Amino acid sequence: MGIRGKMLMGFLILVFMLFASGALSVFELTKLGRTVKGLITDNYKSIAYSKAMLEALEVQEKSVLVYISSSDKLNVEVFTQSHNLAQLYLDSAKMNLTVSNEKLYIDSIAKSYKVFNSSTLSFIESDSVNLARYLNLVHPRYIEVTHHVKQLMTINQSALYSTAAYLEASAQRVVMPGLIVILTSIIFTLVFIYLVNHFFVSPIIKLTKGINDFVKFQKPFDVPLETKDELSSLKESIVNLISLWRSGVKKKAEF
Amino acid sequence: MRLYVVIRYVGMILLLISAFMFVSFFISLYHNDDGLVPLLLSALLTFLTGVFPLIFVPVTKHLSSKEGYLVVVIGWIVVCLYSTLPYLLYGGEFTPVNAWFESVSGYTTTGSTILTDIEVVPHGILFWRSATHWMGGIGIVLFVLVVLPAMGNARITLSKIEMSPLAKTDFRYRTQKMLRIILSVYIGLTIVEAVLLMIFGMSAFDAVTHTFGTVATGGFSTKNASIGFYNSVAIETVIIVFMFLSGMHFGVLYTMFTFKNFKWYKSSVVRLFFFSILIGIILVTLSTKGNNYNSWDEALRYSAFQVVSIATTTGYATCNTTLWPSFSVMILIYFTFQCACAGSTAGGIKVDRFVIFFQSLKRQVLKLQHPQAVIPVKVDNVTIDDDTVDSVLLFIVLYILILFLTGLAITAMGVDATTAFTASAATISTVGPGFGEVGSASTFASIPDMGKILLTFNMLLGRLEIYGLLLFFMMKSWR
Repeated sequence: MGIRGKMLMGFLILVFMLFASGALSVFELTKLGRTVKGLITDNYKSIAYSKAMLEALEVQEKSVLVYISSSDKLNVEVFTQSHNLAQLYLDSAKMNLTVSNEKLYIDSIAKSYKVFNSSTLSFIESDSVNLARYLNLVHPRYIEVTHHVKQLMTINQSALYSTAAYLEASAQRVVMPGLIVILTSIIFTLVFIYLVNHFFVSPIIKLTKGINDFVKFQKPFDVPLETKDELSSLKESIVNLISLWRSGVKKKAEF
Repeated sequence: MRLYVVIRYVGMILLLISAFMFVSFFISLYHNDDGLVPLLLSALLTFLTGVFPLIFVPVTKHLSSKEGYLVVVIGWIVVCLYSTLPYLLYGGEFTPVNAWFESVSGYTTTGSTILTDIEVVPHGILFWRSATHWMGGIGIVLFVLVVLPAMGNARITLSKIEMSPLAKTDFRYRTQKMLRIILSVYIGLTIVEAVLLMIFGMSAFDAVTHTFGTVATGGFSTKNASIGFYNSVAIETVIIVFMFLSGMHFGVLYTMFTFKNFKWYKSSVVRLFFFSILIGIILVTLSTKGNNYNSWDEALRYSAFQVVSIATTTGYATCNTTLWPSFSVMILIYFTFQCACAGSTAGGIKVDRFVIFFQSLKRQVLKLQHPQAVIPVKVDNVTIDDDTVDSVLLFIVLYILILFLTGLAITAMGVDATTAFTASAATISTVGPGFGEVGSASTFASIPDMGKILLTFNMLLGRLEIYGLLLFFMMKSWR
């Protein structure tokens, strides 16, 4: 391979290394950004569903309490509407699993909510709708279901902290490719400089010195070259030139 | 000194490494795991750095001794550095120091790890980790020598430097034939063991990675519980047999397998290796029966595995040896010093040196009785010259001195004495597990970073047989 080819290869490799470093860092950063954004959004959604579920449960409880005091059937309707809402949020939370064991928490909510709902409905439909019976039969179920919903909210809030910790740990992964490729490029550049110096610069200096020695002191032109490239062609040309010059001088001397 | 020639040869070694990185990349691609991008980028960077000197530097078939030393030592260091790339790019538990530790531990076939949870690491990275054992086991430079044709005198110079000086005397073949024998025995053992492990129930991936760890006497496993994970007597038996075979001189194995007229029991080295292991197994079985295991079967099963594993410097585990009685622990520590035969993939003092040591001890005692007598040191009726005897004795002294100094330095970092000294012994002997916090059921994760770096130096000293690496640092003039 000629000098041009070798130099081109060297620079192309350097360009590739730097490009790879940049591309990989951008890729990792984008991937990390997307992952973190996804995790945070999903956690936030789960927290929002939990909050909405708590609100719906509160409305359900209030409607039962008002029903106890007023016996107004409108409150039963409010209870049913809130039940639909609570069920909707519960189903949405089921579809948005982000934290490990989250399914277990949601299953506990579903189970306790089912018990709360059925016990409330049987309480409303019974003949003796009073506060003492409510506190005895329905309220403990309400406390249980709200407790599970709060637990779901807590694990999602903790997951947000874990996401932040993951972000911190992943920073190394984003920086590392760039750092590694830069270090490799430095090693490569040093080797490149050494090789260019040894195989191109040094022979040129030797050739120049050989020519100067020949011109000034008539020393024989004998420059050893290790490679077969443009420089060896140059050397051959110089040798030819010198031999041509010598034969010219010889002919001149004969005349 | 022609530095560009050294760069060319190191480049060739890097090309071999990049080939294995590409194989690991394809395994990652097959399993679609997180090792994909780290392995691809590492392979490309290593390939480009390795191929570039080949474009510039013309072919050189002659190497001087100094250049040979530089190729071997720089080759090992550069390869260990470039092999950290997949680990660093993957991240996880691999900090720069941990990645360097894992890389050196892989190539020197030590098998000590910093990973506390191996099973979460992607398949591609785990394969790469085991492949470093396989390449390092045979010797990365030797590997290149066999693979690449037409290297002339350079082949002889490099093989002389990388191989154990004791191993070379046992071969009666020309360099090229000798290298081919080593490689064919190595590949033969690898194929047979992998097939047997698959027959006995291991997956292809596990069989290949554990075979790499066995024939290279390395010890990296893909499971947190090492071989204990499989809880299979058949798998353990196959691994015991192959650990033992890999601990023997490859020339002896070649002669045995090609049915040449060779009686292994006539070699005092093989005899000492075989009988010391046999006695070790009996003593450990007697010691652990009743204390750790209720039945003789169980005691024999675990003792045999652990004794062969440590005696061949492999380091696989089927139980936690830290819980064994002190007597058994002391026997295992003895094997950590003795190690396996020269001409195998094992590091450390080696049985051959023990034989010469005992023979010179015998001579010394005889000399006390007959001060005027000229008594040569003989091994299998072959007279060992005094230079070799001196170098062997000096090697053992140096070995113990380095072990002690490293242990001392690690205790200064706040690590307890048992952990520090056994970690030092386990790394310079390239065994892998020590005792205390670095026992067979634990990892080297708890050792401070500075300690880990010191231990990697121990591993390189142990693998390159001390003199090679010391010479590199002590040569007054490289010109």
